Amino acid sequence: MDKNRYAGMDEDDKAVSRCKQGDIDAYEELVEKYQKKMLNVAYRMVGNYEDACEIVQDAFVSAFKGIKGFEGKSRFSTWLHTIVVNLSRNRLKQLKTHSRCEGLSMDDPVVTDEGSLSIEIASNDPPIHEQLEKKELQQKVQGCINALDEEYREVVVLRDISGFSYIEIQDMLRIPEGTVKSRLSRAREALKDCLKKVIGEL
Amino acid sequence: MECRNIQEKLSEYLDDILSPQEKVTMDTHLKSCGECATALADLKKTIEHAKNLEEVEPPPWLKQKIMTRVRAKARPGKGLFQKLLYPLYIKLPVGAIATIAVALTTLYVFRTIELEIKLAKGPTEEAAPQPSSRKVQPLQKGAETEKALPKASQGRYDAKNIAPSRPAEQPVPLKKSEPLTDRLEGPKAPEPMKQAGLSQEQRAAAPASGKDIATPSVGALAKEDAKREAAPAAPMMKAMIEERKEGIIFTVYVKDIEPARKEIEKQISELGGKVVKEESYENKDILTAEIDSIKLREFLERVKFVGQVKEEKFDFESAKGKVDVRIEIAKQPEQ
Repeated sequence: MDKNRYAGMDEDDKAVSRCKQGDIDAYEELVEKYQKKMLNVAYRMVGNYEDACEIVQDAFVSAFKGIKGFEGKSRFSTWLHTIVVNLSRNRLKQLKTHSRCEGLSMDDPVVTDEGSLSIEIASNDPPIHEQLEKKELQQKVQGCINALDEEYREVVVLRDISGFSYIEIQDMLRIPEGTVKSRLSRAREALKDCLKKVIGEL
Repeated sequence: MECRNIQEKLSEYLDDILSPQEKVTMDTHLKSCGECATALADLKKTIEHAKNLEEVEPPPWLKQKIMTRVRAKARPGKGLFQKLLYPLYIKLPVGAIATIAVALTTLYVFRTIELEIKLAKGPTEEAAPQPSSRKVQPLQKGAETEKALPKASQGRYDAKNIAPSRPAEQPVPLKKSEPLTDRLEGPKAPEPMKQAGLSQEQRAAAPASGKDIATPSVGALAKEDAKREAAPAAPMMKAMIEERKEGIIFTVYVKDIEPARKEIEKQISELGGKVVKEESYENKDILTAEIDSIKLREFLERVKFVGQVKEEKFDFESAKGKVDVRIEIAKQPEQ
């Protein structure tokens, strides 16, 4: 994953400088290249596909507006991730005020895109279909991520799903390295506890 | 090291970011502690689960939607314009305001025109007999009288003559088109003048008789006419407005019109005035000129050398600045 990110770097810089000169086609290339990645980050953050699509749109539009001020201190993709994470945070806050996420604890039923999952003791029944089982597992994992506190969710998504380094996360979230480490550690523990409850044997 | 401390470091241990020293400590403990080893294994599996989450695919419209918005942003002028005009809650008031503005402008223009007509009508009441007496002059020409008559009536005095004669003679619907009105009333209008212009002696009486007929109707109908004529009588209005501008009117009787006109033009320019308009009719020329009020008397004196001047009443004292002068140069009537 890391390899892929480094590979496109020079291309991104070129595209960014073309964008700064008003080349919209260059920006379209960047959108094409990063839309999927951004969608996945947003989706894992907010746990809802439609919301994630909106976040990605807003993120690309606001990145375009701010591209002239983008100095290239970090990579374009990192910068874009920061925007997506911030917009996802805002969306989560909005949802919270709408009390959809209020009072959610790990023992509550987990709400996912595909419906509600209640915590159940791992069943010994053989799976009807392997794919169905896989899908179910995915839903459970996503459900547990959604159940995490916002700040835990961020670090788990950025580190374990998007594969960013500690230093990159530190830059994106503007928190000290020690905080990244401790937060990630606690987040992973919380996720582990949730998964244990939801799927039993890990 | 206690298990609690070890388990806190498991995350970093898995990411391989511990110092070599810490790593050795961890390794040693994990080999001997089953609980911590299980915790490590569980954590590893948890991370695997997160990593194994399948990526979702972006909807096919996502890029297009993003680029549409980006392109709208890239053209701020158009974007702003669209923003301002697109939503109905802005579009509707803008439309309404524009409509009201157009209506008010129309009203204003109409009121201005109406005022002009009233102003034009005002002096007409006093000047009513004047046109008829002036009009009489060409009619003196014996054989030419019949021809000249309709022609003159189509001229600029038409407006005035029609106005008073219309209510007196027949109530022609005012909505009728201009040429029709002319045809109907043209020959009738000069009736009083015809009587007046029969002989030299009777000429003096002409204004009086004209006045008798014209004055009451004009006075009574001035207001109403102003209102009613606003729409159908545009050329009429033009004539009236021009009339109002004239400060002094007089007629010069000469033997030959052409040289006399040239002479008068010369005098006008010598006195610093300028000829505004030249009109040529069958047996008279009309000059409209602008002359400084101070030079008016002198001009009048000079013109007296050119021919016999019949001057209208004019208050020389009240004139200030440039005065419009209308000079009719007519052929000396044969005695």
